[in-house]
Amino acid sequence: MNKLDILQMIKPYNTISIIGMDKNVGKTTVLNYILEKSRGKLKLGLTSIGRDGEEEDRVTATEKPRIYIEKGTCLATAKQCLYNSDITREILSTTGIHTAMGEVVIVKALSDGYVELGGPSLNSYMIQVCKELKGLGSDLVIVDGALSRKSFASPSITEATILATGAALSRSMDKVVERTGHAVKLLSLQQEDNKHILGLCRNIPEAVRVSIINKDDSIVNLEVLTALEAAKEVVENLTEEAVYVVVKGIISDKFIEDIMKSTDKFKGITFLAEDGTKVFISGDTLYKFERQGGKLRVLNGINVICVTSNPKSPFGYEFDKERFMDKLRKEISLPIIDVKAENFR
Amino acid sequence: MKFLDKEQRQQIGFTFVMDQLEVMTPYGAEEKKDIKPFKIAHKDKLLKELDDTEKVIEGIKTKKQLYSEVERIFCKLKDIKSSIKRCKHNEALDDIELYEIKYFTLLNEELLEVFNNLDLQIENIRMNSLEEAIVLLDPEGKRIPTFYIYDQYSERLKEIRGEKTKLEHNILKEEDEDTIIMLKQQRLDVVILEEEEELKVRRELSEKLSDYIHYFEQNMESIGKLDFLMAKARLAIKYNAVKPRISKKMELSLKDAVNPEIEEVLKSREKSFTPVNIDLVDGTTVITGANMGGKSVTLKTIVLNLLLGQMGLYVFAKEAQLPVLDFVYFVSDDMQNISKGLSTFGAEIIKLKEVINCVKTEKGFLALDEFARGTNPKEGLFLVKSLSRYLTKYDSISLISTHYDGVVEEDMVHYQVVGLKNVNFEALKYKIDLNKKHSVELIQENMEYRLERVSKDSQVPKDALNISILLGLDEELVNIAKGFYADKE
Repeated sequence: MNKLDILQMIKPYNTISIIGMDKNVGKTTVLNYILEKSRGKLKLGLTSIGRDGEEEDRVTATEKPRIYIEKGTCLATAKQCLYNSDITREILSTTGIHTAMGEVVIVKALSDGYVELGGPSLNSYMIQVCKELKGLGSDLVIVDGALSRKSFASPSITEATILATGAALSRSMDKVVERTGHAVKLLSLQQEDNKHILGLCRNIPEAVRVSIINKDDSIVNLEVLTALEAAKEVVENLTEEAVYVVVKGIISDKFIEDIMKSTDKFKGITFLAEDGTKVFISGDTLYKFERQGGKLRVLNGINVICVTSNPKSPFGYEFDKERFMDKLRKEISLPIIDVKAENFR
Repeated sequence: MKFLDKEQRQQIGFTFVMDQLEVMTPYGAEEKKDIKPFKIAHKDKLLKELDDTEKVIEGIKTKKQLYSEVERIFCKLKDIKSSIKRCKHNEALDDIELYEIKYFTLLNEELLEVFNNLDLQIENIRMNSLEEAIVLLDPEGKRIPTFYIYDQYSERLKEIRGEKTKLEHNILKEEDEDTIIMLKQQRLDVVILEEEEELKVRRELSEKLSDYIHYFEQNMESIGKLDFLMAKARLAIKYNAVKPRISKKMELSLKDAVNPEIEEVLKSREKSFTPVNIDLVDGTTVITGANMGGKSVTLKTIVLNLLLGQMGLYVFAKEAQLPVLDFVYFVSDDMQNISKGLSTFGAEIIKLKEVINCVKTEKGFLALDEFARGTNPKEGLFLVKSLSRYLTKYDSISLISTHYDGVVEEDMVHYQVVGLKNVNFEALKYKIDLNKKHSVELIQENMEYRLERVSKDSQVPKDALNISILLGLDEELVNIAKGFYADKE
C-alpha cells in the first residue's frame, strides 16, 4: 500500500536530518527504518545533535528502539556513547569537539551492531563533523536531530529534513494532525531571497540578538539579552525607515503579540528568524500577524522532504492507521510515510 | 605580586605581548602558562634561555623550510599527557587512548626526522624514537593513524569476532521474530566475550607501552620547550626584538625601546611611537616633564621590556642591557583599589609599604608614576622628595616620574621629557588659531616625547601654562596665571 520509497527520496542528498515533533513519536524508528532500507545500497555516515538513542526514556520508561547499524558505517559520536555501543570499531580520528558525553570521536563499524549517537550541539561543529563523515566516503550523512528550544544545532545545516510525528504527541488525532501541519509550515518558512540582506545579516555580530535593518542598509543593533524579551525595544526602535527585523534566538507568541499590541509599524516589515526551528508561534498568531501585513521569513531555509507518522503511542493508545494517514495527507502537502506499517526489524 | 599583578600586566602591555606569543601544541601551551621571571638565583638559566632563543631565531632564518615542517607537525599534535599518566599508573587504556598514542607516535617519527636535521644542540630538548611503540600499536604495519583492537593481538579475539559476524549474518537472514530475538541474545553473549577479551588485550598493550613511558614524557617535554622557543623566536623576528645583555651590575639601559601595544594603537590613528632611550642605575632617577608628555607611556615601556627580559624573552628595543632582579614593582594611580574602598592615595601608600619591605632586603626595580599626585601638592611634594631621597641608598633601581619641582637632589639622575621646549610657540599658536578643531592633535604632533638627561636644577617646564594658552583658555585667566608665575620667579 505504501508505495513511497524513502530511499529514493533521500538518495539525491549529501546530508539529511531527522527531527521529531516530540520525544516518543518514533524518530529512532525512522532512523532504523532508513538504516534497514539502505543496507547494502548506501554507505552511511551517522551523527546526532546532542544525545539520543537512549535505552529507555526516563519519563515514560518505554523501550526505545536502538540504532542497529551495518558494518562499514561511519559514526561521529561522543566517547561515552561509544562505550555504550556494541560494534567492533576502528577509531579513525578524534575531533577536538567536546560534549557533556565526552569528545566526539569518528569511528568506523567493523561489525554490525547497536550504537548510541551523541554528536556536537553547535552548528559550526556539526558542519565540520558532517564534512568529515562525507570525506570518509559516506554516500549520505544522516543527522539525528532535535526539535526543541534547547537545541542549538539546526537541521538547516543539512540539505534535507525528515519530520517524524506520531500519536505520542496528543490523544486527539486532530490535534496531532494540526500541530504537525503547523510545524511543517514553520519549518518550511520561506527563506529570504534578497542576497544583499542575507549578506548584511551575516555581518551582524554574534552576540547581538535583535537588529533592525533600515532602507539605507544601516543596522540598528538592539541591546537586549534575549529575543524573548525584546518586543519593547523593537517597538521603540521601529521607524518609517525600517524594512527588516532580524531575530537571533526564539521568536515566541508573546514577542509577536506584544509588537502587534503596541504598534502598527510592523506592517510591511519582514521579520527574519534564523530558521524554522527557532519560531514558536501559534497558528492563530501567525495568521493575525500575516493578515495585518507582517512578514515572517528565515535566514536559513529547511528543506522538509517528507513526514513520517507513527500511529502508536507509548502511552498505551493507538490511532486508526488509515484515518491518521488520511488526515495528515489532507493537512500536509508532503509525502507521508508510515514507517511502522512497513515490515522491518 | 613581586612582578606585577594580572591587571598591571594588562596595563603595561604585557598581556598583549603574551597573546602574540603563539604556541602550537598543548605542550607548548603548558610551558607558556608557566612562564615566570627567573630571579637572581637562576641567572644561569635565564642566560641559557636567551641563548636557546637565539639559536632558534638563527635556525628559523636559515632553515626556514625545516621549521615550517616542524610547525606543520606541531599543529597536528594532541594532548596525550593524561593517557600517558594513566599508563604509568598501570591502568588499562581504552581504544581511543591507544588511538591517540598511536597517532602521536607516528607524528613523532615524522617530527624526529626533521628535528635531527635542525641540529639544535639544546640541552633539555631531546627527541627519542618511539618506533617500538609503533610496532606495538600497528601490528598490520600499515602506518596509518587509525586504531582498533586488532585481531592479530589474540587468536581468541579473532574467533569470538568470527562468531559474532556469523550471528549477525544469521540475524539478517532470519524471518522469524522469535528466532531473531534468540539470535540477538546469543550475539549479546558474544559481545560480552569480545569485550572481556578486548580488555585483556588492552591491559597487555598498556603494560607493554609503560616500558616506553619515559621516552614519551621526554618527547612531550621537549616538544613543549621547542614549541615555546619557536613562539618566542617568531615574536622576536616579527618585532625585530633584541637579545638583552644581562648585566652583572645594577644597570638598566634601553636604546629605542618600544611598547608594541601602544605602538599598535598609535598606528591605527596614523601616529608613530617615540622610542624610549634611558640609562638607569641603582638609586633614584626622576623623570619630570610636561603634561601630555607621555611620562606614563615611558614608564610602561621600560617596565614592560624589563619584565620580558626577566622572563627570558627578547626585548622590544634596538639595544638592551638589563640586570637580573628579584622584583619589579610599578606603582601608579591607575591601579587604585576601589573594591577595598581606598582612595587613590591610600592605595598608593599601601602598595608602597609592600614595595619598601622588598627594597630593604632584595634587589629589584621600582617605578612610581606620579606618586602622590592625588593628595595636596605641598604634602605631595614632601612625600615624593622624601621617598626619592630614601630610595637612593638602596641597591634597587628606582624610577620616579613627577610633576613636582625641586625633587631632584645631588645623588639622583634627572630625565626630562623634551615636550614643547623646542617648539616655535607663536607659530604653533597661530596654526592652532587657524585650525581650532584639531588643537589637541596639533599639540600632540609638536610634542617631543623624547627624554633628555638634564642637570638636577632643571626646572619643570611651564608646559601646563603653554598648553592652556594653546588650547585657547580665556586670556584674562591666563594673564592672572602669568602674574603668579612672575611672582614666583
